[in-house]
Amino acid sequence: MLDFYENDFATYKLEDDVLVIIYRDGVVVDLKAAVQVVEDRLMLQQGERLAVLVDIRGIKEINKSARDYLALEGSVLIKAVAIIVEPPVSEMLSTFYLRTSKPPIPNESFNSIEEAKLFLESL
Amino acid sequence: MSKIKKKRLKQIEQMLIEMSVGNFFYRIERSVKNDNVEALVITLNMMAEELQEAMVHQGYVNAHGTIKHIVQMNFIIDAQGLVQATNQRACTILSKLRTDIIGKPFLSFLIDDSKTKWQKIWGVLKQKTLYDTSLDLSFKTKGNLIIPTACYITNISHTNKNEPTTLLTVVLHSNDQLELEKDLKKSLIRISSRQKKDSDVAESSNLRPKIKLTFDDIKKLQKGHDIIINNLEKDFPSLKDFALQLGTNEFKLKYGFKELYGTSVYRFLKKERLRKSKMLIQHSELPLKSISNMVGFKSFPHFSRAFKQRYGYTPSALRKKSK
Repeated sequence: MLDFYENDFATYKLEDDVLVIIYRDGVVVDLKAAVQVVEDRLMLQQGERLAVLVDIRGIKEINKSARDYLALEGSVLIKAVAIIVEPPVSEMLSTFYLRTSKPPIPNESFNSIEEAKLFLESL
Repeated sequence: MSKIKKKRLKQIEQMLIEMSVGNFFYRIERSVKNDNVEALVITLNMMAEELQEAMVHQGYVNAHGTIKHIVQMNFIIDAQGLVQATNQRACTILSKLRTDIIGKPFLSFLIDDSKTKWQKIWGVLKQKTLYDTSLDLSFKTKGNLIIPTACYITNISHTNKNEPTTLLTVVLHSNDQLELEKDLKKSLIRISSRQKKDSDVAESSNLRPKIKLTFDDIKKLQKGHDIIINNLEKDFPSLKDFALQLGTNEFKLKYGFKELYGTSVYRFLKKERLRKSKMLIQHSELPLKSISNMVGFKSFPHFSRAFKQRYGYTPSALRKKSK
């Protein structure tokens, strides 16, 4: 399995069985971007179910169709997601997404990577 | 308070007012700041998106009560890219005077990102006499609110003139006339059913009265929806048991689910199972038989048949193509 990959929107890194996805700074996520992000993630995972840590601090905007896509298709082969946010903007983004799109897997947001990793390990 | 912050708050105010009268298509431009005002801005933008979607969503609860009001912006653009003519609604939506629009470059009403998009398509448009296309562009109002739109662009050729012109149309939904139309509808229905003297009947225009779903019912149905999505691999209980699990009855489950999601429980379950399987076939190496089990099908042939019926190709054909 590859342990590093990147596209126009994010970088992917495999660290101790946790897939770390970091969105690039100032990125605008539309449906096309969301599909790309999911496709590349699945390509990397090769059918293995993983815990995911996703850093969304760089996201500038994510539109409705992208949110809907990620909530539905975005959770395939994911055990749980820990989201790294920074108050107030990306924290609000995450709260809004979790509340309205209701992704079907355990999701929680954190301000630090350490806390996020602890959460994923505890599952 | 800083000047910029004041300006931002003014924009928020404006957008809230627009939303109050049923215009959910405005947005506020994002900045790179990470402060509370900015957090408010993204929430407001996303909320408007959700509301806008809910309004045009066909299967929404009590949808017969929501009258969709269509608003249209039209621009006729000449060969130099200048606006030759526009309609009244466009002026209102952009909150600009007609004289501020006519004769000005069409480009000047767009946000920067859209300007580059427009220039690209403009190059194509100029080379062709007959051409139709659609394009996502964002307009900017006088108060600096943003309106993301899908534009339909048509080249019109004249018989008597050599110079081609371009027609650009934008369709937006608003329900700012909702109350008026509702009152009118009510009064009309009241006349036709005067003998009954039943004010409740006046509410519904259908022959078969709609059953009203309470907020509690909707919550339960939404929970049901989430349970289905999260348990695709498991055996699905009978509708009676499922209704019981949700704390409602079979009739309400059947009727309400259809109202809310526009499809029956079983059809939805099947659709979701197949959708998930499609993702797994395309993007994982798992054997097709395991995928069939993973999405709750009892036998592979059954799964394969259902898949072909839904998508028009078999699971193995999709797997071959994805490799």
